[in-house]
Amino acid sequence: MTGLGSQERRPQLPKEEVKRLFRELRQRHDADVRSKLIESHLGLVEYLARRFAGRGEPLDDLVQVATIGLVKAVDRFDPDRQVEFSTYATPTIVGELKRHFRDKGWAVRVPRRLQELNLRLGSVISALSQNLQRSPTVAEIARAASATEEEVLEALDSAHAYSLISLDAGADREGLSYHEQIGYVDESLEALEDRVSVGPLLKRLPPRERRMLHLRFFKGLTQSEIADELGISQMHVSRLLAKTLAVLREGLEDREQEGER
Amino acid sequence: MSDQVTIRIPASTNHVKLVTATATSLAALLDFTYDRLMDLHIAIDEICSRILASSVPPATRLEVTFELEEGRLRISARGDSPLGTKTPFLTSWAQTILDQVTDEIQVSDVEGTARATFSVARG
Repeated sequence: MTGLGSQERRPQLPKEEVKRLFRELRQRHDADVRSKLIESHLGLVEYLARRFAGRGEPLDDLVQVATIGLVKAVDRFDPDRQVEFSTYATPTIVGELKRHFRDKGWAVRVPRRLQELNLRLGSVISALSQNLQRSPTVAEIARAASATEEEVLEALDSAHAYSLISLDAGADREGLSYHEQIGYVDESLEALEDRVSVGPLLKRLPPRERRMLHLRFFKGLTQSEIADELGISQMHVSRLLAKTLAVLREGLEDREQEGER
Repeated sequence: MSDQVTIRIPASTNHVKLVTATATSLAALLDFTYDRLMDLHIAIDEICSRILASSVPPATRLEVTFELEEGRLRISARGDSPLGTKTPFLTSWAQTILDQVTDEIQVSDVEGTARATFSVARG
């Protein structure tokens, strides 16, 4: 991929010219033609990114994310289809922006200052755990992050307030075999009296979340140990665990209510 | 050190966040580790929602008392309504979770309503 950051925005091209360039691109796979198409649609990218501004993410980041969507659209567009490129590209770009919000979990607007601290805390906590060989205290985290304890607490709390992380995100990226995935459930369930109600709910979870539950509640690993094991930050583990438990709780309470009727 | 903090909230999941926030601040005073702080959150979420889910008629208020001990937070929670009999207060699943995130947990009958008491050490 050519360096997108260096690309400058070009004036919009006439529709016929866009069509012609796409045909040329399909025939010759010319990188310059591709760049030209991308650059001439950066206006669309910015327009769509702006629609998602004000939700707590810097516009620059949104434009970058939207540009990824544009590049995908340019690479996939078939000029023989009876549709304008901009019409075709819009849902792809919007989809990319939405996924970005889902992945980051910023569902609720949180002050920028807290978001930044929150993002920083993830690596601060991981680094401290490494150094101390144990989970750090709030005071230690604050000192390392050059923030007050109150700020750290607020940032940690806000992490939970907007922990609307998609449970599907990264579900299939763990590279677990089918057997491994199912194994966790069966092994965990044997001990449970209410496995009849819990089982189906657990099976519906993405493999990573299921594995996390298994490691935390059936293997007794701490959250930092799970973070190491899964190669993600402790804060991410906390959020995913809290979210997963909430989903399960909801599912179980629905069943209880049905049972009482 | 022996200090007590009590908060009384409307019985709804939304307000349980107030309990977690209070617990977080108190735990910071006691120098809790991040891991144990997160365990504390899980324990509170679980206990409070069990009380809300199993009170018949539905509880209207939830009372949570925190006792600050040396390196440990002891928490008791109760609703203002008795527990129903159809499903156990602590399902086997809830018990599994709480066994991992708390150091001890007890459920006792106080004037017809159940009180769950548990403690989490600073780690």
